[in-house]
Amino acid sequence: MQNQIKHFLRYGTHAEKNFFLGSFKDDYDAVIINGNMLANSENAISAFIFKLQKPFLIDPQTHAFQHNPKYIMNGNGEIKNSIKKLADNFGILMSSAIERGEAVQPSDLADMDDFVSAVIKFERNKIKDKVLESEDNEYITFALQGQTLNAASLVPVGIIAPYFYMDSTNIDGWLPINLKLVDKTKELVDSNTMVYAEVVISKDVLNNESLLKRIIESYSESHCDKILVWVDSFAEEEQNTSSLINFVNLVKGFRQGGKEVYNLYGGYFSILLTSKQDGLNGVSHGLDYGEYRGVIPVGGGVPLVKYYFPPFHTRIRIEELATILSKKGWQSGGKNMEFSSLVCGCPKCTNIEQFEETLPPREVGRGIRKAFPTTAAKRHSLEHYLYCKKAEFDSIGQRTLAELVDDMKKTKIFYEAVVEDKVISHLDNWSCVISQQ
Amino acid sequence: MSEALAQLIITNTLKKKYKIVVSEVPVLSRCIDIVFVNEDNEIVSIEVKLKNWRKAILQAKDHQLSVDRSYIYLPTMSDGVSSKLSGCLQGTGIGLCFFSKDNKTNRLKITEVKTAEKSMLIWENSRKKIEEIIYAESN
Repeated sequence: MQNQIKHFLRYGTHAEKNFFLGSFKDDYDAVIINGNMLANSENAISAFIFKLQKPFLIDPQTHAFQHNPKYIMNGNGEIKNSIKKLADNFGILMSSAIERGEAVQPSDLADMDDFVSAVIKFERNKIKDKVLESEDNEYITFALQGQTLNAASLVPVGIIAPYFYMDSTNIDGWLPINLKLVDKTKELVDSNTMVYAEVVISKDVLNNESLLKRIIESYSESHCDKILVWVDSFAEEEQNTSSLINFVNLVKGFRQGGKEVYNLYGGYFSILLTSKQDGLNGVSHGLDYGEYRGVIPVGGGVPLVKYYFPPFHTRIRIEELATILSKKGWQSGGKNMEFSSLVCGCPKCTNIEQFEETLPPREVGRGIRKAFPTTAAKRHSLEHYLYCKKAEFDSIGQRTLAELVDDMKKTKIFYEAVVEDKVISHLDNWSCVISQQ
Repeated sequence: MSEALAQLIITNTLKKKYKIVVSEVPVLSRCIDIVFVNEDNEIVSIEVKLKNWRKAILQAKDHQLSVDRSYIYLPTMSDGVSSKLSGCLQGTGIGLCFFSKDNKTNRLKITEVKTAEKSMLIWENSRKKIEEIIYAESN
């Protein structure tokens, strides 16, 4: 199963649990859990993973400790509880930095053995230990011994080595440390355990030829088995062709160095890249968001409800959707045959009105009032999104890359009189880069 | 004067002339500052801004999906309509009114500088929603 993992979903909030467990359970391959979420809700997350019975990874989020503490604070100016608990799990090195209110420096990791051991132990054992501690322990142990429950479902499919974010100003300090952390992790786990290196870089590193080459060569020579890539705030639809080409080259470099590569926060461009030779092996994203992510602040954020418009492979504002539907004569959304065949045939789109359902307006500060979507509207939007993502991943196996690129080109022509160019210009960039690289 | 106060005064001023005037009307992902029904039974939206007229135009464009005519209201500019503002409004169909305090009457003076064109593109769902809200409010 490990080799077949292509589609990861990132677990963002407990409110998302039912989407992972419900009717979409078979529409993705594995789940990624943030370490701070696990540290903060050990019982809930463990119970969820146990019930899910699917492959998973724990992202240790160690980069949280390298930033200015203000980026890991709550609204009261205190370090978030989840980060404090994460630090407690990782030993004195991180917990003392939190106590002092200071960011961790590369020099703090001169002696990293205890820290790496603690991270490995957290990822490998936390969920299993919590499940076996539960009041159902006797029955669970019995079921595991009798193989009616899968023991492998209680441990992650691999260990993500501790990692720190690199930009052009700090890469000289953090890159050697990151590489040592990877190699130390590989040294401390047993030979059957896959070690993932999480490579988190800024866009200025991505777009710097010599730094990118350094990253590729260093990680290719390291002892990690697989690489998880995260480029800071890399919204694929906002990138010019140069950045997209650099991203493709980064992935290609790692693949040619013998490593499997996954994009931790990717969208349709990354999905297309899984069909290329020396392209990605898989893609991860959040539910209805999380196709790109900023490194700071750590966690948090309130995603806006938008509509995932399948022909564009991006989320658009409800106003943009309304404009398209009006101009094309698709007022009834999915009930209109043309909309259903050209845009989306999912069951959610037959009730297009639900996407824009809002609560009564409330003040959000400075005299500004906003109308937020209802829970039903958010759920509607999310379910539609999951239908769309499944279709995208499926299309890679069902259609050729040339056909998919041609679809994007035709979409651009079909909609260019209907929406502003900025809404669809990414289709040209994606087509160009995917076709050539 | 804050935008909230400007909005309130404009709302009350319009209420002296029109039967149905409603503020903070939620539609699509926004709240329209003011919506009223004019003498031709058309639904008209107003986006009130003190400074950021570019943002007002963007918002007013979205409102055109739901109303018959869409306006932005700005404080009276001493030099009249700047070429930048005029350029940005051109081709949008959005109307422009200036407001200022009339020192003689101590009331708000509203001057229409550019008439809004009738919206050509209506999203029926949000139009229906606006009608429900404003007619419910008026009852």
